[in-house]
Amino acid sequence: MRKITDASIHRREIDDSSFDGGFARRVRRLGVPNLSRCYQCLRCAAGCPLASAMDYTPSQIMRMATLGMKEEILDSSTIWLCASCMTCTTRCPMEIDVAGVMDALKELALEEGRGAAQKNVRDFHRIFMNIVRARGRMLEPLLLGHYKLRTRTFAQDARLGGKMVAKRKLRFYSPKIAGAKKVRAMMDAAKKKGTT
Amino acid sequence: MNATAATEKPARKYAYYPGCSLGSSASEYDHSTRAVFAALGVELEEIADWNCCGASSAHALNHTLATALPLRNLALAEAMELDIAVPCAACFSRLKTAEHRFREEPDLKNALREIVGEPYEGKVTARHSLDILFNDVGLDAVREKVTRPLTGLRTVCYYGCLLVRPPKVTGATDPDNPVSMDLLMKALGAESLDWHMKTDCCGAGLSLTRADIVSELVAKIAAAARLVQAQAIVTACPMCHANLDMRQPGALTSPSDALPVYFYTELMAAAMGIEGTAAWLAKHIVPAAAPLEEIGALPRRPRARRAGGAA
Repeated sequence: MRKITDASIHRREIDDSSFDGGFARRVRRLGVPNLSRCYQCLRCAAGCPLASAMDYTPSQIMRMATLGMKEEILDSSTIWLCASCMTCTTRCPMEIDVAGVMDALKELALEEGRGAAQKNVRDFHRIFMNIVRARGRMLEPLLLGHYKLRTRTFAQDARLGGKMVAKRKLRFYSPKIAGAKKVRAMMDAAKKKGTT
Repeated sequence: MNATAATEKPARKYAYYPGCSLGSSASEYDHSTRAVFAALGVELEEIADWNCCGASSAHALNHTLATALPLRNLALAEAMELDIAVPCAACFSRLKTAEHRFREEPDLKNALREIVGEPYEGKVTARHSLDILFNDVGLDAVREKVTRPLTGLRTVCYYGCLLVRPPKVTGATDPDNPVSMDLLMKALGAESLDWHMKTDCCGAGLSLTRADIVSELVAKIAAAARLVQAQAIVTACPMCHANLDMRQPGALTSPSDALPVYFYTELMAAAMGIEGTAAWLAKHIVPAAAPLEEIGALPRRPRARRAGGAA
């Protein structure tokens, strides 16, 4: 992936074809109508506890979203590493829901089958919602099991997992709720409503 | 924290939304919350057939669904004509966000009515159980029930993110320096120390997927707690608890430095002499009984039993 820096923007290394004119509008429709009010004060980047692990800071993503730099955004790790701690949303002087922007971008990335930058995080969210879809509630051992199978990360946390079982931290069975059908119908209706 | 109609009259019954974690990895939080509320004469009626609020994945997948899932629970509580008591900070955040969106986004409101299918008019609201204890029950009522004060226990209160942020949604009056849990600890006789990571992030839902990042954040929080010579960290969120309790030993250069991490309700139960406290603490990864035994808040276990004593 081409890394776009402030310097490369000033050197005009990128041309108009790098931008998707309708992208910002799609983001705005997903619950952040005031996306374009960002004036790059950088408070979101300064306060973000995950910024050091991200490829772009939240403030860079904000600018890129406004400009319509769809490709770079949908391939970035930033949108998946946002932990929704809401520090940025709380501090934004323009009252933009910055964490909500990250959510909207995840949604768009999933819609377009992207998210390879943090495949495990992306798959975690999918598995999570599949279980909620099937049962109406989360059942943690199912989530752990499916996640481990999908990502093949069996070695990671094996000892901790053993301890959790020994301490009876996990409940292995709970009945499906009566409203599971209703939850499924809600998921279908929300999906049909679509994102764009 | 919240100024709602319920705070004006001494409401003593709430719809209870435990959420998924409290049925499994944080069952000690569920049990201690129910026990403490019962001891204080507050009735919690579990919402029949509640569904997952979607935290922390639905909002990554579909913004409409992320609002619809919690809204069904609000609708079920409205049928009970009760405000909701929510012990989980993540569930609390999703329920409050749904309320907020329902209020603020008229387009979404109509779509949601259709999708959820159950009527919700915004007559009931979600309250965090800590907020209910602090504002409705009151610390005087808590103080009256304390039989084994936690004198000498040096705690730091860790509120984390979602209990307070964003204040527009949660109604928190001081999101940078919340004090309700600190004052609660003092009411129990414990010390509550001033520290600088009260509302910092533990990495939340990245625990499984990016354990490296979570460990780094947890190590910072633990170091800040040790800096003020705390003996224990107190939380009000099952995700914060899971991360701090399970990731702390692995995140520290010396695992034996790990501080025990309590739910505030567990410490209330200990101070109120509620039975079952020791069994809840036995579920923790970082041994949590010893500091309470030392100050006489928990009866000492017979030496012969295995440390942790889960069996």
